[in-house]
Amino acid sequence: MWIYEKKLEYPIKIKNPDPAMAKVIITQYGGPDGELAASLRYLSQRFSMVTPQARAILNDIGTEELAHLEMIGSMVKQLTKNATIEQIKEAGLDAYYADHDKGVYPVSAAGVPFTAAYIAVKGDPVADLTEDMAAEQKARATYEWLINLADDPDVLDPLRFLREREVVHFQRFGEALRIVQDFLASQKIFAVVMPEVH
Amino acid sequence: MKNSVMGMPGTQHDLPGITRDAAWRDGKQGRCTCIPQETSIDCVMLATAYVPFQKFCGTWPPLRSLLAGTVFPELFSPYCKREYVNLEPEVTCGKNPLGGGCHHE
Amino acid sequence: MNRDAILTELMELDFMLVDLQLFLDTHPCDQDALKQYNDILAKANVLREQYESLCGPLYSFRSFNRGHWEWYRDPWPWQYSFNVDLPGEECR
Repeated sequence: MWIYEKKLEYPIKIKNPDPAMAKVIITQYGGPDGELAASLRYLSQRFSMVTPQARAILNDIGTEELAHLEMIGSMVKQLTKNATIEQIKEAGLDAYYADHDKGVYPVSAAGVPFTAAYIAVKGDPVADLTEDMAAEQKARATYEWLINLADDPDVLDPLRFLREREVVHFQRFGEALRIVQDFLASQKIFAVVMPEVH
Repeated sequence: MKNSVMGMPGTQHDLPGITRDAAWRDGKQGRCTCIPQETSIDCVMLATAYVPFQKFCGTWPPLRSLLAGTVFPELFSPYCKREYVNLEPEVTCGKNPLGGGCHHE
Repeated sequence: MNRDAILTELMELDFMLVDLQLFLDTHPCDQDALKQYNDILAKANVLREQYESLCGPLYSFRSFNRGHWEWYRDPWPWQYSFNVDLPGEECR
């Protein structure tokens, strides 16, 4: 089960509102390669893993992704707080504002609402872990694009932190895949039928 | 060698069990004594993906870890926008910027 | 120590624990990593106690609340005033 700890994994302290930045950063909240997709994917896939190391890694990285989801939500909130209607319109956030005010709703940068279609739970541990490695690379790339779009150090620091976490997660999923592959290979029993020799 | 604790001037916190960078290196030449990954894999099979296992060679101190986004220097992959700023990671044993080629002494 | 200093150090140590924990999940037999994890945990637990006695509960159903229910009080972690500025710079 989950316990909530009343602090962020990395501090978010954004002094200057920037709705334009909020509009793109929200993609790591509700977008295809965002933290909601990641946490739901890993926490769902963990049930079909076949070794305790893989179960642990999926459980624990899934949990960390929830902490990242919280960071992204905090960033969006702080970036729009005190923003004027003029700033919101200029940032192209007026359509979002019409439906959500300055609330945090899971959508991509283009405004597409979150869907479970972003994740797969194949039930096959090799397929699932391979998908997880791809997911981490996509998240890492998305953070790079967001870093390219940002200028404010208060925004850049947490984005770089989150990007590095994806790199580390990729390594861990890769190791989990090794462990699972070794396990599955050791389970194979080959029946060799001796040919009849006359 | 791997787990000696050395106080360095100006470090944030002195925690037991944390390996300082200098402990990896043998003498002034800086020959590596701990390579943080396996450098060969037995029994590689077709149609199978392999990520080399990391090996524990110590960590950065607490503040550096949080700022970098990892405790492990060997997993640090700096990204400084379009213009790549050449940040010395301070402590890697050998020259292996992530993705930059084989790990060697 | 003031609240900001304790919170900063606690964030640093707790982060180390998170990263080490993931390493240990795939390297469960690594004694060096385990020792470091336990050593850091001991220090973090001391800080946790200091933080809670200064600033109130960190956990919603694992922490004591003194005199009255403190858990619900502001600031919450997503609010600006909760957070600290980290010293140091990473590639500007």
